[in-house]
Amino acid sequence: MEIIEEDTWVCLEDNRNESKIVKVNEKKMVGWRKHKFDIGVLLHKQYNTFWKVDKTNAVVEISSDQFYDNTDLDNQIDDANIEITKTNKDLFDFNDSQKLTQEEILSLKKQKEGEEIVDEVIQNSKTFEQKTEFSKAKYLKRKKEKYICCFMVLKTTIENVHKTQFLETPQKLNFMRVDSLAFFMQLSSITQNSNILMFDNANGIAVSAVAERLDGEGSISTVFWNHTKSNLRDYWPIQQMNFSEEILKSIKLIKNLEDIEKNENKYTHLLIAGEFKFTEIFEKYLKLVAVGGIIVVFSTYLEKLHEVAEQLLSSGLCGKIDVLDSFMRYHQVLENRTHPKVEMNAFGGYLLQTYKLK
Amino acid sequence: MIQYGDTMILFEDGKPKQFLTVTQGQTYQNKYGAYHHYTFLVKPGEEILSKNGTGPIYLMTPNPHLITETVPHKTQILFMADISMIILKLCLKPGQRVIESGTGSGSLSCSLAAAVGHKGRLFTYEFNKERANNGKELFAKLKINQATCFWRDVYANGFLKGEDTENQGEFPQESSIDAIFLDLPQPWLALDHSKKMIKKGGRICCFSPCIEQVQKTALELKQQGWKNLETLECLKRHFERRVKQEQSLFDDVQKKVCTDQNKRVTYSAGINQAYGHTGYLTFAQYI
Ligand SMILES: C[S@@+](CC[C@H](N)C(=O)[O-])C[C@H]1O[C@@H](n2cnc3c(N)ncnc32)[C@H](O)[C@@H]1O
Repeated sequence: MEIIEEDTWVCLEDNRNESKIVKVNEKKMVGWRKHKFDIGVLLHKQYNTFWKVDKTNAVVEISSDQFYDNTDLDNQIDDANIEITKTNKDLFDFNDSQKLTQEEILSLKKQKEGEEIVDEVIQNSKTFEQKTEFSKAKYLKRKKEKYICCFMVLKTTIENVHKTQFLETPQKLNFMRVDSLAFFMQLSSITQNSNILMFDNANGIAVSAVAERLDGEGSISTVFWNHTKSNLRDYWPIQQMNFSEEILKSIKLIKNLEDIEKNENKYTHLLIAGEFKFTEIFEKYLKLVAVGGIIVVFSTYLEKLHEVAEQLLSSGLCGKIDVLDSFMRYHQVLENRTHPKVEMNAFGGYLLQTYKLK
Repeated sequence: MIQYGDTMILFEDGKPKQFLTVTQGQTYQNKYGAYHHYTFLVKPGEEILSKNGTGPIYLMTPNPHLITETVPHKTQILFMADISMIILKLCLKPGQRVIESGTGSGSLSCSLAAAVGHKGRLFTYEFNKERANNGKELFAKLKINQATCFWRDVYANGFLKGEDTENQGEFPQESSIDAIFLDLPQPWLALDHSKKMIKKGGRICCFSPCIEQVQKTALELKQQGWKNLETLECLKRHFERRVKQEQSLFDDVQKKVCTDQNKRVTYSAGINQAYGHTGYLTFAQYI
C-alpha cells in the first residue's frame, strides 16, 4: 500500500464533488470551505482514505460508508425508491421557514458536528414534513453538503489536477476543457523517445500531460508565454504531479528563443496549447520539424486555427489538415431518472492536427 | 530507416489510408501507378513516387491515432474521441497494468498499450478465436510487445490463469491491475471478475451504445461497491474552411457592376457528416 510522504501533492475530493490540490507537510494549515485545518494529519497515511473536518477543525479519519452517506446524494434519492408519478396538485410555494436564526446556526457550528447541525436544521424547518419524499431528499442533500465537510484523499492525476483548476479558473487553462486535453494527447500520439517542441500557454497542463506520457524517455523543449522570466516551479500542474527527477529532467524550459534552433535533432512533434501568434511560430519553426512529424494546435478560436491551416496548406509541406472540436456531456444515470446532466460546459476549444510530409 | 518486414501506415493524397507491410519483391499499385517496395526503404515520412514519377505517397511510423484511422475493421471499433476520454479518465500512465475485453479489431488496444508504455502491460481478452488471433498478429506486426491477447470468454472464465492451456504467456494476478476497460455486450457479467483483478483505487470504464446497458452496468457497479460513478458521451466534430465569393444585393448583375468585384471571403463551417452517437462511457473507481 502506498503511503503519503512528506512534500507530496495530493488531491482532496469532497462530498460536493469539488476538489483541492494540496501539498502535505507536517503541521501545515490549509483553508478550504470556510475551515482551516492541519493537513499534516495525512502524513504517512494511505491514499484513497476518507476524512472529516470536525467542529474543532481537526481532521479525523472516517469510514468509506460515513463518507458516501454524505456524498453522491442523488444516487441515494433513487435508492429510496421515490414514486416518480409526482403531481403538482398539492404543491404550494413556501420559503424555507427556518426557525433557527443565522447567528444560532453559526454558534451551533462551533458546538456540534455537521451531522448534528443537519438534524437540528431539519427539526427547525417548519415545512420539511410537508415536503414530498423527493424534495425532502433534495433538501437533505443541500444541507449535508453545506454543513458536513468530508473528503477523500487521492493521488494527483492529470485528470484531477485539471479538474480542480478548471472549476476554479478555467481561463488559467486557456479554457482547455478535459476532452480537449484528452484529444490533444491522442492527436499528438506521444511515444517514448519523442523529441518535442512545445508552446504552452495553459499554465503547463499540456506539458505535464506530455511529460507524464514520455516518462523521462525523450525530451520536451517548452516555451511558456512569459518565457524570459519563467521557471518550471511557477507551473503548478508540473509541481502537483509529483514528477520524478527523470521526468523533470526531460522538460527543458526555453528562456532564450534562439535555443530552439540549437537542438541537434529535428523535432518529432510541434505542439501548441493555448494562445500565441501561431503564424509566427510556424514561419520560424516549421522547418525544424522532422519529416513525418506531428503538429497539433489547441486554441479557443476557430479562426486562428484556420489561419494556421491556410498557412500550412500554402507551405505545401503538410498532409491533410484536420480542424475539430469535441462535444461532450455527462449523464445522470439512475434507475428511473436517466438523462443528460442539466449543467454542461458547452464549449471546450478547437484543435488542429496534421503531419509534416516534406 | 524503413526495413523489409516493417508494417507502416500508408498516406495517399495526404491522408492515412491503410496498413502496409514492406515486403521484398512486391509492388503497391494505386491510381497513380505502381510503386516497388524497394523504393520504400527510406526514412519514415519521406516522399515516395510511383514508377512514372507521380502520386507521392508516404509511409509513416504507426502511432495510436494513425492505427485507429487505418486498422482493418473486424468489428465495430472505438474511435479517437472515445479513446481519448478513456485514456485520460482511466488515468493511465507508463508502467501500469491494464485489462481490456473484448479485443475486437484492436483499435483501442493499441492506444491502451501506448499509454502504459513498454514498462507497462496490456492484457486483452477476446472470445472469438479469429479475432483473438488477429489481435496477436496485430501486436506482433506493430511490435507492441507489452500487449498479450488471450482467447477467452470473460463472462464465464474471467481474467486469471485457467485450464485453457492454449492461452500462452503471463496472466495477470489478482488485485494487481490499475485499470480495466470493457467493450462487451453485457459488461455487468464481467464485473465480478473485474473486481477480483483491480487494485484498490483502480478504475474501470465500460463502453455501451445503449442507455439500457448503461443502467444495468451502473446498477451492478453500485451493488458491487464501486464508487465515484460517472457516465459521459464524447463526439468529435470537424470544421472546414470555405472560400466564398459574395454577391451583394445592391450589385447590378445585368450591367455587371459589382461593388467588391473580387471580394473572396473565407468562412468556417462545420462538416455535416459525423457520428451522432457512438456509445456511453461509464467510469467508476474501486475503493
Ligand atoms: C465491439 S468489439 C470491441 C472493439 C474494440 N474496442 C476496438 O476498438 O477494436 C467487442 C468484442 O467483444 C467480444 N466479446 C463479446 N463477448 C465476449 C466475451 N464474453 N468474452 C470475450 N470477448 C467477448 C466480441 O467478439 C467482439 O470482438
